[in-house]
Amino acid sequence: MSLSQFEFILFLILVVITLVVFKDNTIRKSTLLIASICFYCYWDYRFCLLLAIPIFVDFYCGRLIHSSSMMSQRRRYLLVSICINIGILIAFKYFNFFIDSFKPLLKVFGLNVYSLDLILPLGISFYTLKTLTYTIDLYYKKTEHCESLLDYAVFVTFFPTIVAGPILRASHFLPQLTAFSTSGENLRVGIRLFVIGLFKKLFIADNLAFYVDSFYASPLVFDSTTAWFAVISYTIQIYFDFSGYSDMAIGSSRIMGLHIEDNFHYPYLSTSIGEFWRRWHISLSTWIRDYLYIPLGGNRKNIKRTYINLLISMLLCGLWHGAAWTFVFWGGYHGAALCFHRAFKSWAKPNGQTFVSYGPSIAHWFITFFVVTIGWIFFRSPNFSGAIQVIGQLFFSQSGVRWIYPFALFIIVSTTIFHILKALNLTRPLELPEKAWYTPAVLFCLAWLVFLFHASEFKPFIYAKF
Amino acid sequence: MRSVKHWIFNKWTLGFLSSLIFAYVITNIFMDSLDSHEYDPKLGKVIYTSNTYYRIRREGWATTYIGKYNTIGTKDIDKNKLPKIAIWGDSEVTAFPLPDEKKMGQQVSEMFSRAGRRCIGFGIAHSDNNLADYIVDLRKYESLIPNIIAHYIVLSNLNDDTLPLQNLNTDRSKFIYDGNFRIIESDGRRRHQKIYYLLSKYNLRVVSYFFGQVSRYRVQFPWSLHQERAKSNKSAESLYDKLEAWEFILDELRKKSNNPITFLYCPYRPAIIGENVSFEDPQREDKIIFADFCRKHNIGFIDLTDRFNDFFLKTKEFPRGFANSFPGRGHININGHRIVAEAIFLNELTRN
Repeated sequence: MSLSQFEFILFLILVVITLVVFKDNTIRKSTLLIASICFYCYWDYRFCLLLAIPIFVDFYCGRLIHSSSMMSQRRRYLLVSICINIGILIAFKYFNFFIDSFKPLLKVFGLNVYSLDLILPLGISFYTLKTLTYTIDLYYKKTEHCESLLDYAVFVTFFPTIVAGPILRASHFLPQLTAFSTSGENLRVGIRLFVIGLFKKLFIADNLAFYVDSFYASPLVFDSTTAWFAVISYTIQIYFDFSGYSDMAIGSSRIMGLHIEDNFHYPYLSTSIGEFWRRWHISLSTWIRDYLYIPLGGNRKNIKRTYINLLISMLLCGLWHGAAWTFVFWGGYHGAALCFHRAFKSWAKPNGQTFVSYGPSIAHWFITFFVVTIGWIFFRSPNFSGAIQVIGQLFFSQSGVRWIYPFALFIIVSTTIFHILKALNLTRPLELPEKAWYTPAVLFCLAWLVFLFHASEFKPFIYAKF
Repeated sequence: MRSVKHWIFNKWTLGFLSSLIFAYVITNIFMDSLDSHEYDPKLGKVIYTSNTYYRIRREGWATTYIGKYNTIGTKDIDKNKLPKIAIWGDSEVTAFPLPDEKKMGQQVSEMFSRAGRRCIGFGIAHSDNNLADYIVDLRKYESLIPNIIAHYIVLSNLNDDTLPLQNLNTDRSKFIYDGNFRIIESDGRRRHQKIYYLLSKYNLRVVSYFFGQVSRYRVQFPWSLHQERAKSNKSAESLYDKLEAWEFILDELRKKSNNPITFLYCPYRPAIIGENVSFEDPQREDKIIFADFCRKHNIGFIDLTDRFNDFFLKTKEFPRGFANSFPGRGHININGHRIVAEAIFLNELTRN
């Protein structure tokens, strides 16, 4: 079940009614757990058992970490939790990738290893990171121990976020379970976010997908103007697809009375790559910062080590996205861009200004947007040769079919205008403030646009495949 | 507190009501209009309502005038005494995504006019039409519209348009096989025709769309997700001999008129297939056989494959497809209509 399907809306209504009817907190939490299991079973019931492993392992590891006073013991239990979680992730997501990548090397040593016919469990990348936040935070005593297995199971399986995040933190989510309730205000705020998310996904992203998918299926046929349009369209599509999902997840959680922090904050307004990662997929970038980059040493050591830490973090970030070298390259590309930006930033000028304070911010914005857009080519292409073909079409003007899709043109222009207005701080009315008199009318209009102009073909969320 | 609740209630209610106006306006700008139908006693069938306009947004961005008797883009065709060339077809000839002046019939008229000849071209079409419809209607139209001097039939999909047991779920006439080849005339009646007529009259596209979507939607329960095994679909073609079918239907067609009849074959090529542009027509072998049968029955057959391919090679533009659809796929576009019109014009010059 996708959050953008009508079935999900029916399902959510049913859950909310149950939460409204029952006032007892344990019943409410049980309702959430049952709903989450049903949601997961809708995709494939066989993987519920797999989902149970991290729940039990991390809950009991957490209990042992909490009750142990010796550091070595605490470390041992943490390692058990990390190894089991990462082990499951590697087994299901990366086993075939490593086998296929290193097959020639293994053959040299006389090993004939074959890839397996594995199904990638839904949301495995997301719930693995989510469960790790609990045991790691407990180890560093940054969070309270969760006494209830029910609470912990709700945290891991929470259905609005299990498919593609946002990646919840135990320290933020678990305390909310002690008292949460549906209310008129939560309902209004949640519905507002849900409808905006639905509009982003079904009206914008899915309709752009037709153009983008057609281009990426045969890039060599099209000319460079079309290539630029399609590449920029994908930049916009992935933003609206994923931020739409996040809005729907946050909105549906809010309807049930649970608060989740924002996952996007106008990433395409960034004037540096560092800023981009502070605005894009915030729950992941902060996870990488807190649980990978800082433990590696962050920027506390010498500059060379900082660059290495950045590169390692971003390479793993790329690999987390997908089991393919194109994702690893994409991560490395962003890591390199972060290193370059840091190098230029620290390149002090004689008058005390740094490199980045030179030039208008629009130039900084343009360079950032350009770097991000080129990066998405590797993210979207099925393989390296596909990505190289697209880049070839972009920069080496070749004759080919020109196809300027009117809807893509409309979305590119309107997104640009919206971002310019946002940069000028003029978008307050357009962001549909909760209390504004016109917000309900606009939300209904957005819902009509979704209903009337949704893409005929169902498109799953891009991040749902990770 | 009560007044606040009251205000919120009003805000949401008014919001919903104003969104209905928005939906009405937006559907009348950005959605295809409803095609309304009426019964025509002279033709004995249901046709597009005469003297109406049909708007399309899905592929192209155009409005089409529908004249009498399913004639496309032409007013009072029955009152015009000039020699006429009738172009028969399905949605390729209705050409709703194109403005009237760019449709093949109008382009033929313009070419004759520029050449100083008094002759007009016009389309007779309805979506899903096939050869059975033309056979049923040919004689009726010759009696209703004066001075038709030639018939052209636009063909794209040879199987769908010329063979038995195709498109049986449409409301058009049918070419069937039940041991014998037969043509069954349809009066074209549709379900809920009167309701559609009213909705069309008041531009209530949004209402028909809403009920259409709701009635078609099937909630997917987990246990219904596993798709039903595809029903065994015995190829209709294996039931009869294709050559015998063509022999029958072309014979029927020829008997209906003494005027010249010519097929215009518009292939689905060139087209983007995989990572390349393909020029190979998959219907090539059938097309050659069909053309031979046409010759035998004194029916013309003009194959536009080479002209379509040459046009693409010269311009890098396809004869099919619109900005809103994948390049090279879908209906014949402005380029394709010009190529078809030129073919008709040149053929007529040669014939005369």
